Parts: sequence; structure tokens; C-alpha cells
Amino acid sequence: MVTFDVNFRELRSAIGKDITEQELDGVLFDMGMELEEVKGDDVKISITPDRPDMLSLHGLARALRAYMSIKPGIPKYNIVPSDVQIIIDKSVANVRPYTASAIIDNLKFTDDKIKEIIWVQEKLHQTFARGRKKSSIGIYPMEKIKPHIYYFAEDPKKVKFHPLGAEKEMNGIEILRNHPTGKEFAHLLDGCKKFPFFKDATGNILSMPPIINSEMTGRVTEQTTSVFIECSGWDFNASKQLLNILVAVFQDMGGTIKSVELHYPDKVIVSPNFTPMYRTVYVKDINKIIGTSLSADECKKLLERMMYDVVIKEAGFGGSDESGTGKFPDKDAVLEVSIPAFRTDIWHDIDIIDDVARAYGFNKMEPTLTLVSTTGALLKETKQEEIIKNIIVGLGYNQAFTLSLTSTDDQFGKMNLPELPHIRLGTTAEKSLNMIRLWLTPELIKFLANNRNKPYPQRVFEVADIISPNSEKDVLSENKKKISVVSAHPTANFTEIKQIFEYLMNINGIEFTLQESSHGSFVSGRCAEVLVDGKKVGIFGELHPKILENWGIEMPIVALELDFDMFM
Amino acid sequence: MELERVTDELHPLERKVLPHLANAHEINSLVRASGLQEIEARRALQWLEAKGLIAVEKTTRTIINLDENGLKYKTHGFPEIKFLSAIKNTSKEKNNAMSLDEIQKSANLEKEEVAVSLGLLKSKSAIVFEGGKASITEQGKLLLEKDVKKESLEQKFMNSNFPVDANTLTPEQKYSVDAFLKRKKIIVQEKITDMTFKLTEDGVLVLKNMSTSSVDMIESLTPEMIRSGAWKNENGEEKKFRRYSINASAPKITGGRRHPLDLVFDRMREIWIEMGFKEMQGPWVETAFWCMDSMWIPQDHPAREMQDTFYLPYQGSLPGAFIRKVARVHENGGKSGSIGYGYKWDPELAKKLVLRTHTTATTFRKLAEMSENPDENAPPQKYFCIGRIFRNEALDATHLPEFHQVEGFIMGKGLTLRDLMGYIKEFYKRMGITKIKFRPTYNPYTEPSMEALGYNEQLGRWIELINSGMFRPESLEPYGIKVPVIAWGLGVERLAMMIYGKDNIREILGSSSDIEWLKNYKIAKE
Repeated sequence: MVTFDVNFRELRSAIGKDITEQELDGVLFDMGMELEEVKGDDVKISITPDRPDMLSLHGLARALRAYMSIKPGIPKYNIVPSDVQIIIDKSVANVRPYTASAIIDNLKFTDDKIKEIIWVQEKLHQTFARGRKKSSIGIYPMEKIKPHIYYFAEDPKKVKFHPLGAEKEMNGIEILRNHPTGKEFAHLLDGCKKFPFFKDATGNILSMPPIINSEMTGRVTEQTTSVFIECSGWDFNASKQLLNILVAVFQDMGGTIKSVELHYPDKVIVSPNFTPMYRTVYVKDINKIIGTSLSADECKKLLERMMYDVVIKEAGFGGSDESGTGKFPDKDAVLEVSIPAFRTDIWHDIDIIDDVARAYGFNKMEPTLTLVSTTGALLKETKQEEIIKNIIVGLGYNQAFTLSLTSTDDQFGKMNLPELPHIRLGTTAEKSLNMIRLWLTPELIKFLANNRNKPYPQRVFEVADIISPNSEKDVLSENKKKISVVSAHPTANFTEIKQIFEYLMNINGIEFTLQESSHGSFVSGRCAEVLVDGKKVGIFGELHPKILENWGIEMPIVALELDFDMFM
Repeated sequence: MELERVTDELHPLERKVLPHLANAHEINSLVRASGLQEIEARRALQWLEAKGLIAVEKTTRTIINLDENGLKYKTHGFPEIKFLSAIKNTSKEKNNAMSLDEIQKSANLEKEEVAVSLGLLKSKSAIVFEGGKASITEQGKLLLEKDVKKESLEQKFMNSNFPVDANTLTPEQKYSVDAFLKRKKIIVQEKITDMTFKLTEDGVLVLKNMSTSSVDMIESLTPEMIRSGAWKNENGEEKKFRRYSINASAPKITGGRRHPLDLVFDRMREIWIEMGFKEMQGPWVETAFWCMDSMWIPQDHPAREMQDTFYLPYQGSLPGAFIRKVARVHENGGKSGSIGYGYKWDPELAKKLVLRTHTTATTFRKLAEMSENPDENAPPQKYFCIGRIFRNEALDATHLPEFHQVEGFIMGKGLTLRDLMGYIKEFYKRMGITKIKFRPTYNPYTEPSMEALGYNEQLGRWIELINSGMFRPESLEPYGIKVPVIAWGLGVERLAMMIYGKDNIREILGSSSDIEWLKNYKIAKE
């Protein structure tokens, strides 16, 4: 979710209706957004990240106007041609090869509007543009620019300009090294011998995308009435969509859209392009997915509330080869849907069907519990685990639930063991973690250490997974279930833990042999390794006082750890 | 008072204590006279007081004892004196000024003691501290002399007979106490309760009655008594059993128990089984392929970034049968009817090993596995899974980097969004949550996507319960699935916390939970 703050008064005026807080809350909820907080006129709204077109006061108001039937259907965009050309040099092919651009005239900027534009630009960079990786936005006061505009790549040492917010001119390398924005986004130009730049006909540098604009030609002020916008990056489609989202906001602010010609080495494209995308959706499919029996006309009205235009047509045959379960009034109807050019989330018919459901209202639908007849079954391991856990509980033990992420110090160091092969973690937010557990006992000891001030005896156990390295597997490891039982009290001893071990083995009918072990965690001579069919399957004994000291526990502990597999 | 009943109910300890109460009125003399241990005598007194047989009067006073540091300073001297003598004795040739490090070394003090001494000595004008160096003043020398002669107020106080009664302090002692209380662990004040007691009128009556009533009462019935018939007298009549006061408190016991979280797992398993679901499970360590690519999460999706996902420093391998199909739906939508993401799918990104961020990884392994044996796995199919998932987050009071998710899906012809609502509603009804509403949401691999919110009566607000949706055609296409699949996933801990009234996940999961709670938690009712 992306949250943003809007002024309720401005939002009302942008919607063109004096809606109440409850109405807004209800409409946002139905559309899949959330009214997070209302403090007087300050409203906090969160929207899902797939709708960057709603990520601004004007974008949101536009969607609400349609949803509330104030202005349904696809918004109209009038584009006036300009004679400005953007000449794209072939040198950008290896850096950021694409740009999509537009000019907006007749703007009346206020401080608030400039703030909104900067905010939208920032949020779009973070979300849709994936941290400026896919594409990045540049906005310039047109008054300061002499067309035509050139997009080219050059050795960054050779290009010098005065970047926004800096005190003096810098070359490209210096910007990445010394300018705060340069440092933040330097990684996007990693390994590039040449950097991309925009310049105008007089040779003035406009910007170095995706990093920063020039102070001279790249700062929008309240005096600005006309802007040049470019979205440049690795993906032409994404750049085009990003541009459309912004251009739509500018028109909603009262601007006039003017197109430019993008002169690529091999083609000329007129930009921006607000031709809608089209999809053909069968009414039958809509009803089949949602579970409704809507007519073609109802679907059309619902879609218009989601900013689509719809033309109903007759289809000669059904929308899919599945036969529907119900009888639909417009069984063979097909909807020709025009999709606004600023929508970035329509990949498939299903996305349009989803919008029908949103417009209809999820909470107007009656849930159905269609009986899908299948037989249920627990996994064999679950059933056996359940039995074993209940037996150990019967012996007076409390079940614990420890974490699987831990450290080599807890698993080996504090347990007086050499490091055994294990699955390491990469970079972790929590610095104390560096591996996934290889055995359970240390985690139970950690639990006892945390409870050292609580009454004894403390008898706990856990039946849970550990991760064991296994190079044969596609994930180089596998989950293995283990049983660990620990008992801490003044007279805890070898016999006590051996009794539990033998009881578990006997009632499961497993033959075993024991051999003395020199396991570092246990007192030598009081530690038994368990062998079943010659294979090591577990260990038990009295924990060495060194281990207790390492964990800060002043109570004898006996412990048992067994493979679960043999109980299957 | 029912004299006979009260007399019969007397515990052996009470019987031992009662005869001495005419003369002994405080605990020490009672212990001496009765020969009981103090704890036994106190228990008997407590019971007798509860029965109204004795009257108890309690008075409280404060006593002062030497604490850890006090005892140390008494034998080894005060740190500030060591501080002073260090300057005086070792720094003559350096103008009587020494740095704190030098003093600490020479006087053999702890760092903290140096800091305390510095403040104290400055306030007494015993030193001058300038430019990081301390030098002794005349006042300081005077202080040292007093100490050598053992004349300082502090030293005199240290030699008092402890414990000292706080009410009988001399003004000089009072001065030292006030000074010491400001310092760490030199003295400690304790409240002592003195207790005096005497028999009430009822007590006198019971005592008299006790001495005339039979003493041959049965305390504990033993196998030997049953065998020999010693519970009867010569006439075959039953002897008197000492009457117990059934309201007397019994020592608490606890038993072994299952973990509350595991009980919630069990309940959920039961519900899914009741509704005809099969259980599935999958590995914690996953390839990015199964965790993300397999279900059409785009390769540049923010959720794939480091701050959310645990990336492990290994490369796994990809399932040959599905690589091309998955690549195609990402790149151009394949045969799914989608336009795809329009990028070149990179198998290297998919090979990275991660800790699974959701159990949907396990769902897609299952869908893939089923597609390899389509005849045995023809729709309809219903599966669920309860498993651990991981988020790369720092540990704090309310976050853990791992927790559990319950996941379920139904694959079947004709399933609709309303059926998804129906199954979710039914599950929560069986979990005891009946007030549910739905909100559309966004997931990269489901459309429509839907959240359910439940009304929490205690909190008085709606809370998010579950994320769900219908798998996208692009997600299903590589596995040849042509019928709708509805699916959902919810966090278990949050629900368990609601059921057991906890507001911190760390009380429910992990080694910082309280063993006493695990022994004594209240059974949750449905």
C-alpha cells in the first residue's frame, strides 16, 4: 500500500461534489483503498500500488468522479501538435535508450500545485518506476528552453552544468560523487562509459537523467506557465505510461497538452499518445468469474464508473469453451472496452472483470458456499507428530515454539561445538541472525535462559523442523523434523532423560543401541549417541556446566534430541 | 463458633502451637517454646488468625544494613579516599595533578567509582579538576587526615552495630545515612514487620476443649491402618478423623501442555479437514522461482527486494519442465490471453535461494506436481497448508522475522468470487468470527484479489484477517490449469493472539515467551 496526504477541501473541489467523510470512506473502501486518518481537512489515504494513476489529488479525484457517476467513462484528452522535435541520438542506445516527452501550456502554478507535482514525481519514481530504474521523470520550464531538444550520451567528464541544489557547475562524475541526489542514484549508471543528457538548441544542458536537472533550465516556479516533460529509461512502454499519468494530472490542473515529435534514429513517434487500448470482453466471462447474472448494459454502466468506454456488440459464438452454469440474458454479448492510456494494470480480460466487480461492490454480493466434493486428509507426518507430542505432554512437559532463524554462536559456539555444515543467511535486517537452525536443543536452552527467573522444574519440548544441507535437492537443503526434550531442575540427571528416551523408543517398537559420545555439549561419560540400524539418529545426556555458564543458567539440564523420521 | 467442629479441624501444627500461646506472644519465643521451625509456627499462626482464635497485631519499622559496596568499603576503604591518596602519594613531582586514567590505575578503582568520587570530591572542595586533571586541596588533605585517624562521620557510621533502627539514629548517623542513600549500594533500608499475638476468647475455649477432647485422631489413612484395622477402636467403632478445613489453600500444580499456537494450528487443520481439504507441505528454503516467478510475480516487483526477502548466498536449480512456460507468460503472456510484462525473463534471478515469503510457494509446487499427473489430479481439488514463512525484518517488540501462514486453494469448474467469499466466511464462522466484510485489493498473482476484515469486539474496530483471490490466468497457464482456482492465505499468530488475549507476537512465538504462561494459560472456548 502507498499512503498519501490530501486536503479534503481541495479533494472535494477537484471531485466537484461536497461529499462527507463517511461517503469518502465508503467509496474508497469499495474501490479497494483505505481512508487511514482524518484530522480536520488533512486526510490520509492509502491505495494499492497497481494504480499509480490515482496517486495524486487530481488522479484520485478523476477516478472518484467516475466511480460516483459524476463523470463516468473514459476521460477526454485534447492534444495540440507543437513543432518541437526531440532528437534522440544513437549514442543513448547503451545507457537509457528511450524517452517519451510532452509539452504542457497554459499552466497556472501555485505553491501547492508545484508541491503536488514534485510529490507525484517522487512517488512515481519510488513505485511504478522502481526507484528510477525503469524510467525517470524530468520536468522543465519551457520558457527557459530553446527547441529543438537533444537526447544524447557523452563522456561524463566532458559535460559540465550547474545541477539543482548545488552551488556551482560540476561534471557528470563529480555529480555522482558529491551531489546528494547523485550519490543516491549513482548505482543506476554503474558501468556506463557515457552518461545520458538532454540539451537544447543553444547547447544548454537541461539534465542528466535519471539523476538531476540543471539549475538554469530545470527548476519549475510559480512564474512557469509552460513545461517540457520527459520520461526516459530502459523501457519505452513504461516511459510512455509514466508520461501519460503525469500529462493527465497536468490537464486536470488546467493545462493544455501539446505533442512533440520523437526522432529516433530509425523512426518518428508523436508523443504523448493517448489512444486508448482496446479489449474485447465477453459478458458471459464476467458473470462466470464474479458469480453474477449481469446484463451487457449493466456491465457497460459499471465499467463506465471505472473510467472505461464500452460498446456492446453481438458475438457469433461464446467467449470461452466452458459452458456457463447459469442462463444469462446477454449470453452472447461482447463488450468492446476502451482503456484509458494512463492505466498500467491491464494485462488481461480478468483485470477488466475485476473492475466490474469493484464497481458492483464486493459487499453487495451474497457469499455462496458451492459444495466442491473432495475428501480431506492430514499428512501422515502430521498425524504421527500429534501422537508423539501428546505422549511427551503426558510426561509433564510443556511444548515450546522457538524460532528457526538463529546464529552460529547460539547453535555451535555457546554449545561448545565446532561449526557444522549449515544453511547461511545472506544480508539480514537483524544483525544477530546468520543461519537457519541445524538442531532444536540450543533454541530450547535459549528459552530456558530467558525464563531463568521463573519457578523450576522447567520441562519443555519441541517437535519441529530444522534445515539440513543436501546438495541433491533443487534448494540445496531439506526440512527435517526433530524432537527435542529438555528438563531443568536441581536433580535433573542422566537417568531421567534416559527414561524418556527409552519410553519413546519402546512404545514405538524401535530397536536401538547406545554408544558413548564425546559430544561437546554434554558431560563426557554422561552422553549417549543413539544408533538405529547402524545410523546415528539422536543424542541425549547431561549438559556440560560450561554450556550452562555460556547461557547464564544456574540449574542442571538434561537434554534429548532425536530424528523424527524413525517414528514414521 | 462451633466449638467441636473447630477443635476437630485443628491441624497438628495448630495443636502444637496452641498450648504455648498463653505465654508466648511473639515469634521467637513461640519457636523456642514449641520446638517448631519458624515457617511451621508462622503457618499455624496464619491459620489460627483466620479462624479468629488469636488476635495479631503488626507494627512496621525500618532498619538499615550495609549493602554490597558498604561491606566492601568497610574493609577496603572508600573509593574517594583512595582517589585522594592516589593524588597525594604519587603525584608530588607532577604538581599534584593527575589524569583520571592515572588515578584509576594507581588507586585500583572501577571506572564508575572514579566518576562517583570525582563528583563527590568536587562537591566537598577536596579537589580541583582542571583540564582533565585533578589536584588535591587543603580541604582534601584535611579529609585524608581525618580518615587516617578513623574520625570521619562515615567511618564512624560504618562501625555501628548493624542492623541499625532507622528511628533511633543520632544526628551524626542521620547525616551519613542521607549521604550514603545517594550513592550506589552502600546501605540498604528494609521494612521489618513485627508481629505480636494473643489468644482470643474463642482461642481460650478451643485450647481448653482441645486438652479434654480425644487426641487419638486419625491424621493420614495409611495402607497399614487399613490392613490392620487400626482405624477402629477396640469396640469396632470408627475412630475420629481429623476434620480438614476444605477451604484451606492447596499448593498449586501445573501439568504438561500443548502450546497455544499449536492448538490453533490443530483447530484450523480440523476445520479444513471437516470441509474436505487435503494437507500439503513444502520446504522453507525455496528458489525465487517457486516463491515468485512460478506465480507470475514480476521480476522487478518491490516485494522481491532485499528489505523484504531473505536472500541466501546460494543458487538453486530450476524445474526443467516449467522454465520455458513460465518465461513465456512473463515475457508475452504465452497462451494465457495476457500481454505479459514485456521484459526478458532472467532465469538467473529465479535460481536465487530465498526463505519462502509465503506458503503460496508450496501451493505452486503442488499445482506443478499435479499437472505432471493430470489424470490422478483432475479437478476438483482442495488443499491446505500450515507453514512457517519469513520476512527480512529486524526483531523488536512487535515484529519477528518468521511466523506462520495458513494457505488454502480450491481448483474446480465454475468457482466464482462469491464462492471465495463463502469459503472464507465459513472458515471464520468455525473459528468463531462471524462479522466479516470484503474489500478488493491487489496481488500480482490473483485477480480479482480480496481482503476480508473481521470485526473485533474487544478493540471495537475492523481488522484485516486474510488475503485472497482467484489465481490469474497467467499464473495458471504454465501448469495447464483451465478451471478457476480460488485461494487464500492468513497469518496464524495474529488470530492466536486474538484468541488468547495477547498483544505481542513474541509472547506467542519464539524463545522469549513465558514458561509460566505456557503452564497456566486459560483454555480457549469456541
